[in-house]
Order: sequence, then C-alpha cells, then structure tokens
Amino acid sequence: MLRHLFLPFTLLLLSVAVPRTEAADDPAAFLEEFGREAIAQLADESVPVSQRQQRFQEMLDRGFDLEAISRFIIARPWRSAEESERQAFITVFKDYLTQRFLPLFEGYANGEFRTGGVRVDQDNEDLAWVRVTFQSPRGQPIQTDWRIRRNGGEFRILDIRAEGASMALTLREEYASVMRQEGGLAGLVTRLEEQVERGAFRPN
Amino acid sequence: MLGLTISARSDCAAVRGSRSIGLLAAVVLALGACAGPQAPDSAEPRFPRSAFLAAPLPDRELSATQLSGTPVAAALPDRMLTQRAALAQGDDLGDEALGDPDYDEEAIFGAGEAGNDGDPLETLNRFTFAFNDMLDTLFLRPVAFTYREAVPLGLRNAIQSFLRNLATPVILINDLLQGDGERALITAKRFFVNTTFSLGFYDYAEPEGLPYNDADFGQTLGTYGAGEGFYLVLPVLGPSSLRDTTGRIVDTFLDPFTYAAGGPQGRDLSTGRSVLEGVDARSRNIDSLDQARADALDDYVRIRSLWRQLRQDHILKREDPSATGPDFGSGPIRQF
Repeated sequence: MLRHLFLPFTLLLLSVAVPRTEAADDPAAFLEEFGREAIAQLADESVPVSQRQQRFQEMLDRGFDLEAISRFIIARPWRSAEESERQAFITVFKDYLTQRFLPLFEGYANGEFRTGGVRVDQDNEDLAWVRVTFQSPRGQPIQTDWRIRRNGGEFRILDIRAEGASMALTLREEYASVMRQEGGLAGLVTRLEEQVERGAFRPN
Repeated sequence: MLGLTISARSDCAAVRGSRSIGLLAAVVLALGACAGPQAPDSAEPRFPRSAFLAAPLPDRELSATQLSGTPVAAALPDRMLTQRAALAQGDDLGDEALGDPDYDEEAIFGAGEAGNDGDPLETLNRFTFAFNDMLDTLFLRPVAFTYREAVPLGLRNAIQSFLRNLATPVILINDLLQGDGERALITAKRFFVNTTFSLGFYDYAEPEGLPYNDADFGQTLGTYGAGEGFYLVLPVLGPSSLRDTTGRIVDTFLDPFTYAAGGPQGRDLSTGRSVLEGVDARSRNIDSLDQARADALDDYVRIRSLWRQLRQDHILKREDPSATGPDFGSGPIRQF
C-alpha cells in the first residue's frame, strides 16, 4: 500500500531530477539537431556520392514521415493502391528527393540556419510549426515553416512552407495532374522512375 | 513568364508571388541558397500532348446536387464542384486501416486548401500558358536578363522606386477600401517623403519604418471574402483568376494615370510604364522562377498551385499581418 503511495512521488522526483533530453519534447531542438547532422553528413564532398546518397536516404527515413507525406500527396488513389504500389512510390519519391536536393548540400559545409519560433497547435499538442531561417550567402535570408508531428515519442517532418506555399500541397496538385494523364499511381511511379533514371531532377 | 506582370499596374501580388515562387524550390529541403540558376535540359516536352486534350475529371462520385445547399455549392460552377466533391471524398483518409490512427490530414496540412483544384478552363489556360511561355523564352526573359546584367542595381532600384511611387493612388485607395487606416497612412507618408526628396526615385521612407505595401483591388475583394472564382491565365500577364482579373480592371479605373495620360502620347506613356514594370518584375525573379520549374513534372500545374497559394497567403497576411505561416497568426509564438 505504502509502495503505491510512493510511486507517484518517485515518478515526480524522477521527472524533475532527470532532465529530459531537449530534443525529446522540443520540435525546434529536433530540427536543429537534424539540420546540423544533415550538413555534417552530406556536405562533405570528399565522401563518395553513393555513400552520401545512402546517408541522405537514411536521413529521409529518420526525419520525415514519408508514409504520411505520400498519403497526402497521392490522396485518393492511395486508398485503393496495393501495398506494393505504395512502397514503389515511396522508393521513387525518395530517389527524386535525393537527386533533387542532395546536390544542394555540396559546398554548404558552413551553411547557416537557425530556428526562430515554435507554435504548437492549440487542439493537438503533437503538431507544431517551427520557423527556420536560412542565411544564404548571396541574398536575403529565407524564412521557412516546418510542419512537425510527434508520433510515438519521435518527431517527424511532414511539410515545408516558404512564403505561404506548401511543398506537399504543390506536389499533390502536380502529381494529381500527372496521374490523370498517365493513368493512376502506377503511371506516376513509372514517369518518376524514368525521370530519375535520366537525371532530370538533378540541379544544373 | 509566368508570374508576369507586364502592364499590370499594381497587381503586385503577382510580382511578389512570382518573386517568391522560387523561394519554395530554393528552400525546400533547405539549401537553395547555393544553387544557381537552372535551366533543366529536359528532353521531355514541357506539355505532353495529352495535356491539351480535355483533361478528364476524377470520377463523379458525388454529384453537385448532393452538395446543394452548402455555401460551396452556391459559389462554384458545377464542374468544379464535382471535382472538389470527389477530392473531398478522397481526402477522407483518416481511417485506421492505413495504420496511422493519429493521421489528421486537415490538421497537419491545413484545412480548406486540400481541395483547391478547380480549374474549369484548364484546356484554354494551358494553351495560354504555353503561349506565354513561348513569349517569355523568346522576348521577356532575354530582355529581363540583359536588363539585370547591364543596368546597375542602383539604377534598377531607382526605377522600381519610381514605378512604385507612381502606383501610390491605387494602393492608397485599396488600403482605404480594406479599412486599413494604418497602412493607408503609411502609403500616404511614403508618397509625401519619397516624392519630396527624390521625385520618387529613391525610397527614403522604407528605412524610416514606412514599408512599401502593395494593395490591389483583387486583394481587396479577397479580404471581403470573395473566392478566386476560377483560375485564369491571361495572355502576356500570366496567372490570375476571375477575382484578380476583375481587380486589375477596377484598378485601371481607379488609377489617375489612366485619365492623365490621354491621347496617343499618353497611351505610349502607359505602355512604356507597363513594359518597364514587367521587365523589372521579371528581372527580379529569373533565378527563382527557374528554380521553381527545374524539377516540375507539369509546369502548368506547379505554377498554378504556387500562384494560388502565394496569392491566398498574401490576402491572409493583409488581414492579419502577423500571420506568417498557416498557424503563426494566432496564439503565442515561443521565441528563442
């Protein structure tokens, strides 16, 4: 009986005494850590490209909720799609992101960014917006808002907005059009695969 | 040429919009900063032939009549409504069968935007878009590029300041129509300061805490609660909508310049001003627009989506200047 009485106190004490790691409940700290790691892992051009590609994909898996993003982007066809089709999309989507964005890290070893504000949703404390500002070497600082969700104790990125435009929404509308033209999710996947194969998404 | 603003008197949102379009691409996933201009060497035709055929709508699972009586139904053309209805139905993905019971699409990605896919004039719009794209490639982009490279920044800024100063009456009227006395006062002060000290060629007011704002009548209608109506690509001018095209026309009538510049000479002056505005705007968004289009699978839809989002964001920010993100407009922000 006494033990039961003590339990809440023990827990309370523990929670006070043991500082929780910052990243565990601060979406901004999570983003900062993630960003620093990304630059550390991906900006070093002496590392072979294939290895950086692999790291990029690992970081995508770890930092982004690709399942939820894909579900939003594909929208309706996602429901009726086979699991294998969904996985095929996620795979090619990661390849697209890698081809498009990994090269942007090159030469960004001293890249500067800072988080500047967090807004947790009022009706859902697992959702938050985090403001991230990038200092570009040759221009105005660029402000972005990152959509973060806590799921099972871990943070995941769901969307990125710049100047009010959402990446997820933009891709969703674009892919919807491609799916109409190419005959559904399978057609979109094939189209993306072809483009990745040709290196069409590579900057420059 | 997309966000194009040749002629556009003060449809500055389009200017702003197109300028910022690239930011998305630049930043998305972080590091646009170091990426230079890109000209994708795409072997794929920009517009697959099928794009010009009437794009089939999603299956009509909900008819317009099923939605009749809703505010949406009143505001939308039938074709758009069914499209939205189909989308809305498809968006209902919160079921646990997909293995993520906490997934709440509206909460995560923002409500009311997901179904924004109506484009009843898509076939015509795509055609105009392709036409504009050709004009841009052949004329506007090269001219804007040369302008950017050949004219010193100081002079380009002076020209921009002068053009902005010239647009003051339209901005002022729209500030007032939006019931925004504070902005109206700033606009008036800017005009006074800049005209007095530099005839408008230098923006002395900005560093004094009197920032430029770019009200237009399409935006005013937006703050009154008017939806876009439908998306419309204007020849030469680029992305617009029923609401914003109406706004442009009204702005022309609101502009004293229209009346002051009468006769053939006046018309030339008007045209010159419009061309200069277009070239100035285009010269400032060369890189960002290239970026935004670099990896697009369907340029038309990408630009349409970005234009709509930026325009909407701009209208929201007019109503609540602190709104800098979808949810940054209300409640406390924790600063570090």
